[in-house]
Amino acid sequence: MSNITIGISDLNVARPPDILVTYALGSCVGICLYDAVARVAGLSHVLLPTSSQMPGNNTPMKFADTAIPMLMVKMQAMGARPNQLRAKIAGGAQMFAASQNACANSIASIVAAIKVCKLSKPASAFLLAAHLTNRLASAQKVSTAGASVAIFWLK
Amino acid sequence: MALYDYSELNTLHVDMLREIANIGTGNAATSLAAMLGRAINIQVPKVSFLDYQNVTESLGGPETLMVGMMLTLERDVSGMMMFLMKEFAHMVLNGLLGQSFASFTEVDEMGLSAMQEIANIMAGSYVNAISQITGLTIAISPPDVNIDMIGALLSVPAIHFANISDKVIFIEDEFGGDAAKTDEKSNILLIPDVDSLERILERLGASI
Repeated sequence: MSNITIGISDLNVARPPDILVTYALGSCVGICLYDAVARVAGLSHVLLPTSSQMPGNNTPMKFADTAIPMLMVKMQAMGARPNQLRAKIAGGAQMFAASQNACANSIASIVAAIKVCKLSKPASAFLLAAHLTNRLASAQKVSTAGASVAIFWLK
Repeated sequence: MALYDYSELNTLHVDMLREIANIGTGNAATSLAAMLGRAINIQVPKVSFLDYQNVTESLGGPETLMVGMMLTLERDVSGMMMFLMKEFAHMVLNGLLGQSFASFTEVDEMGLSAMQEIANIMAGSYVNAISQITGLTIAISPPDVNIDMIGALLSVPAIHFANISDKVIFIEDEFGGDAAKTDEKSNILLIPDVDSLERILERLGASI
């Protein structure tokens, strides 16, 4: 069993018993796709929802709308089927009160991107923890936006 | 020739930026020392073109808990500035409020507000120094503070600059109470956007 670390604007796929992990999402978003039948998982750590603002970009793993199809191609090469995939997403925290809130945008766009990919019906995108940092609610607490996301499953 | 991205800077440019950072940090550290009534050491600044992965690694790994204070620069220079502190933050709070916190989870609203004020004063001194040398008008936003993993804190500039480049210029300074204690190491990150960087260098006489 090995841990496969996904960096920032990075993605990878794995089979049991390997573990995919990404650290400290913050305002970034982690997208986990899992085919429980084929037992193939993928994890992507994206920064931005769409690549439209950066024409001619050569970093598809940075944007949700290009990273998800790329991840799905990799998973299908390992035997996953789009209609068996379940998606979970986490992250998109507003880290600082005044910083531009790219995250709400990001979560909505990512859910849209997952729907476009026609995953299992109805689109099973679970919003795990958007806006993990709610400074108003817990100003005194250390925020947990940095929480790592790991996907794993039993043998 | 206009800069397309940060990687086109030569060694002369990097030296100029290092000097700017040195002066900025010197001023910021002086302000902090005056507030706390104790000596603050600073190191020679580093100018690096890093992807975010490498920045978090160089600051102790993505899950290192730090106090982060962020503010944005506006007017002639736009970009972001971040102050990152570990244990040093406790010392700063103790010096300012006469109150000690056992851990970051116990820092209260007054403590967070004090950290914001620290960032405000330090950033003001830093930016004033750059402004005087370059003749550029630079305004700073009120700072925001958060205590979180370094990777999460740095995701904010990462996202802000993601459309421009995969690498970002980090003009990084180290300061702290006792240089021998690694826990007291703190960092100032200055992350200008490409246009602003060009403007600063032009004002300093560098041809780009």
